[in-house]
Amino acid sequence: MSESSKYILAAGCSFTDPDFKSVSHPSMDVSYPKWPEVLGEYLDLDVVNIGKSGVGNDYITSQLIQNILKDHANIELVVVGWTEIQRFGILDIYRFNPMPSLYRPESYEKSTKQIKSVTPLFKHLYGEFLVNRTFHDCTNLFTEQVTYWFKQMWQIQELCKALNIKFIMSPICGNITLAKYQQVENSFDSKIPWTEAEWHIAYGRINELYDLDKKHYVGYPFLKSLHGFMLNDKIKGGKEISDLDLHPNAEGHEFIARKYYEQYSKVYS
Amino acid sequence: MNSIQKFILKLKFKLLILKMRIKPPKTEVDKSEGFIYEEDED
Repeated sequence: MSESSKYILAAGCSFTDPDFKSVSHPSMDVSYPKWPEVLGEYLDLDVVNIGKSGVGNDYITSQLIQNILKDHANIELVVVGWTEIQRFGILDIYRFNPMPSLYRPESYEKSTKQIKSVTPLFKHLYGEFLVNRTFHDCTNLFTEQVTYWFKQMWQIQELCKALNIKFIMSPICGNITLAKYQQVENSFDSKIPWTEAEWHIAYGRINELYDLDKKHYVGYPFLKSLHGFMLNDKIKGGKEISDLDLHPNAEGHEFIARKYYEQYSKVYS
Repeated sequence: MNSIQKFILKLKFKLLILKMRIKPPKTEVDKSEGFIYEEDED
């Protein structure tokens, strides 16, 4: 326990959740310290970790804003592990991730009632705004989802700056490649009519990318082709729980904490 | 991000896209599963 009353506020999904349980290995002991707690040890600061499994970036943003506004005077550092950009929630009742349903349409019959009820919406959304959209159409799901995520990060960035709170963030779980989006083609008769070059042009045209203060972001600009990354790609090969469960193991959490610490040291030392 | 950093990143995008136009890369197949937190119903 540190002597300072100030603390680290950490937010994110299952990669950050202090109470994470492995769905693939329910009996496995995964109670090892998660990356925010490891980071707290490095910086000798207490940690308030509000990470929660299954949540989307909408939930992460709203929880962060509430927590920061309530207790900003005591927050030394905000750290965020952003999650898959395709996720969204309905109030705090339902949390959805359309990608598995659309990638594995054959699993529909075995799905939960809530997934069954919303799968037609997923199909409409991804069909209408992705599979049936060429690069030259104005609105498309990829650009919309990425822009929305950049705006969420920007909100937290600006809130922290306004309140003089230190912050370090990174995408920690997810994938924004064309290949990932092509998984949804399993639910449609046609293919996504985009090339890799068009995918990158669309990404580079999102003005909100340039509003992010890059020194505060691990992995910026988050594209492998521009030497960016998402942290889940960096823990592949030995730092995951298993081949079935790709969440970080104890070594993976140490690795992620080091990445945040290195970025913190670059900005604030 | 200052204007020089923006300019450099936009230039990097332009060069990358030019490279992709000259030699179109093949999109790798992604077989990774999404993260699911609810069990399917029996």
